Amino acid sequence: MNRAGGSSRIAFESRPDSPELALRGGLHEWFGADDRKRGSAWLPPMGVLIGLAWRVAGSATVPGAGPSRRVVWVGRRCWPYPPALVRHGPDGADRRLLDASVFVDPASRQERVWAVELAARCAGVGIVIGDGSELAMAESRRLQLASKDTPLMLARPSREVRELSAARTRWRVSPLAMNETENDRCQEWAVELLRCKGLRPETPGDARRWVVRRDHGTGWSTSRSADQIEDTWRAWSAGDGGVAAAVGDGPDPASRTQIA
Amino acid sequence: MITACCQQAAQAGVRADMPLAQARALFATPSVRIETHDPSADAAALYRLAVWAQRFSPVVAADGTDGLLLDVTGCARVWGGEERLLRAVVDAMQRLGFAARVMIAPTLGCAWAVSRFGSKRACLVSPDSVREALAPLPTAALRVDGAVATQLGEVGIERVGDLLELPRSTLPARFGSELLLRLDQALGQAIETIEPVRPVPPAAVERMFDGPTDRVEAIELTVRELLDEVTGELERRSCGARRVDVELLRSDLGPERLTITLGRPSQNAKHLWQLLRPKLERAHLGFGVEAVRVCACVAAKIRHEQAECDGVAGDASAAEIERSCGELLDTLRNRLGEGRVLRASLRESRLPERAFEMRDASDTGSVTAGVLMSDRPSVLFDRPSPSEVIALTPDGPVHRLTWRGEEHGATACVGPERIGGEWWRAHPTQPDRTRDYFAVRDERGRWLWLGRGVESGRWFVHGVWA
Repeated sequence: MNRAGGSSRIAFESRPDSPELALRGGLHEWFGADDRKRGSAWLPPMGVLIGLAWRVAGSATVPGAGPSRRVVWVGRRCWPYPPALVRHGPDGADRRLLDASVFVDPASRQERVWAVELAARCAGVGIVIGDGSELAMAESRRLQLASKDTPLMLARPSREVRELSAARTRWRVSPLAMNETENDRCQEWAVELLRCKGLRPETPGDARRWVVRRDHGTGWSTSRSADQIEDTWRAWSAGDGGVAAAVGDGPDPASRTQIA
Repeated sequence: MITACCQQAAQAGVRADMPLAQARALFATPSVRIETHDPSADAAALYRLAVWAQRFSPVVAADGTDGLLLDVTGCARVWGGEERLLRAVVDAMQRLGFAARVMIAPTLGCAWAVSRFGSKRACLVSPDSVREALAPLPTAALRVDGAVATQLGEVGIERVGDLLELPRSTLPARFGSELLLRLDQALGQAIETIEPVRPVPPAAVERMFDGPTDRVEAIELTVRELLDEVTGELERRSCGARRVDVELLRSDLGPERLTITLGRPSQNAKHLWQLLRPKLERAHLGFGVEAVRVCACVAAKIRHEQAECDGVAGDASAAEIERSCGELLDTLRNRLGEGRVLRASLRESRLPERAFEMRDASDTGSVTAGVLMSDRPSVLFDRPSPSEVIALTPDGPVHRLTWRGEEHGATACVGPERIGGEWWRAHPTQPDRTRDYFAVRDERGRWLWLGRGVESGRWFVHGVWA
C-alpha cells in the first residue's frame, strides 16, 4: 500500500488519525476562527500552519546539513513573524525552518495564484503555504492538480467556508477556551476536519476533531482528540518526529502527554 | 611578516619582511590597522585593473604582483601626445584611489627601472635620453637577480651608469649572460615581448532576418535557437549565465532590450526561455525586427558536481533540489519584480519590528546570529492596532481590553516584559521607545500580544498567536 505516494486514496479511506493528513500532497484549505463579516480583517491559523511547516523542514535533514526543501509562504497576509519560525529546544535554537523559508509577495490576486501554482510544481519545495482568499473553483481545481506531490496549504477567511473548491481536505482551526487553572502559557486550538475527499461520512466513533496544544514557554506542541467521549488520547507533535499514536487512555488530564 | 605598509608606517620605520611584533612595537598607540595578506585577491584585483587599463592601450599585461605594462606604441596620437596620455593615466589612477607611479619610456626595461627607482612619480623618457635616465639608478633596476646585484655591489658597481662604462665583452664572464640581456633590453638593443591579458568576450550570438519581420512566431523561434547556441557556448566554457540580454534591432526605432537576471548561474536554455517569454510577449516590435542578438552578459563558473550514485532511489538529490529551487526563485523574481521574493533573517535588536530583516532571496550574504527571543507571536501587525485596557492595579495584570471594537475579558496575563528603546537610533515618529509587553489570553482562548508605551501610556495590540 502506497501511503505517501500519489495514489493515497486507499490511505484516505482509512480513518484519519491526525491533522498530519494534510501533509499528503494536494490542496488543503484552512479556515481560521475570525469574524464572518465581509471585509473584516482575517488571520490565517498561523500556529498550526507553522507546526505543519516544521514537519517538513524539521524532518528532512539534521541541523547544519545544508538547506532542505524550501517552505514557500505566498501572500503578505500569510507571512509569519520570522522570529516565531525559530524553535527553542533543550539544545538551543533550531533555525532550520527560518533558513528554508522563502517569502513571496505578489502584487495581485492573479499573481498570487500563479506563484502558488509555480511553487507547488517545483520539486525543491517541501510545502507551500499561501493566502487563498477569493479563490475561484476553476483555480482551485488547477491548484489541486498542480500540487499532486507537494502539500499545498491555503488559508482562507471563514466567510468563504461555503465557497466551492476542489480541495482535498478542509480544516477549521479555532482557539479553545481554557480555564484559569491551566498552565499559564498554554494555548489550545481545536482542529476540525470539515471535509475530506474519499472519506466515509463521519460516524460517532470516528471524531474528526483534534486539539493541538502549544506550550509557549517551551514551544512544544502536542495534540489530543477533542472528543471527550473518545477513549484514546492521540499525540501530535507539531515539530519533532512525533507520530500520531495512542499514548494513553482515559480523558484524564493528568495523562496528557508532551512529546519531546 | 609584513608584506606591504602605507607611507606613514614606512616613515615610522616599518619595512617589508619585518615580523609583525617588531612592527607593532614601533608604534606608541595600538590603533594600527593590520590586514591579512591575500596574494590571490591581489592578483585578481591586478587582473581587473589590467582589463580596465585596456582603455589606454590594447596591449596590457600584469607585471609581477604590483605592476602593469602597457604598450602605448601608436596610442599617444589618440590622446593628443604622450604627455597628455601620461596625465590621463595619472588622473584615472588617482580617481580609482591608487597611488601609482607612471612612466612612459621607449623600452620596457627603461620604463620598469625608472618607474620603480626613479625620483619622480610620473615622467616621460624621450628616445635619446634613455642612457641618461638609467645612469643614476641602482643596478637592481635592471631586473637582475638579487645575487648578481650583490656581486656587482661587491666590486663597487652601484649604479647602472658604472655598468655602462665597462666594456661589454667582460660582463658575461663575470656576472652571467642575464645581466647583458637585461642591459640590452633596457637600452632597446634586445627584443622583449609582453604577454597581454585577453579577457574572454561574453557569449553572444546574432541573427539577421532577410527583411524586417513582425511575426512573433518567427522571432520567438529565433530567440530559442539563439538561446540554444549561447547555452552551448556556455557549456563549453563550463559557465552559466547570470544575466542575459536579448536585443531586438528594429527597423525604424532604437533596439528593444530585454534583460533577465538569475540568482544562480544557469546553462539551461529551457529555463532561460521560460524567463524570457513573458518579456518577449510584451516587447514592442515597432515596424518589424531586423535582427536578434542574444548575449550572456554576466556569466559565472558552474562547479562540476558528481552525480548522486549512492542509490537513493526515487528521492531527488540535493543538487537537483537546489537547481529547481534556483529556477523557481528566478521565475518568481523575474515576473513579480525585485523585492517581492524574500528571505528572512534575524537581526541584533530586541524591538519586535526590528528583530528581523527581509532580504532578497538570492542574497546569500552573511547572516547575523540575531537576538533569539523565545515566545514571540506567530503574527506581528505592521502597524500596532490601538486598544483600551482596564487593569486592576497600575502596572498590574490586564483585566479587560477593547480591541477592534470588541470587548474581551482576560483569563490569563503573562508579563510585563520590558523592551528598552534603542536610544542610539532616535526616531522622531516613534514616541514609544520603551514598552511593556503582556501576553494576554482572552475568554475565547486566543493569546494577544499587548504592548504599552511607557512614556505615553498608550496600549496597543502588536501581535497574535493566531
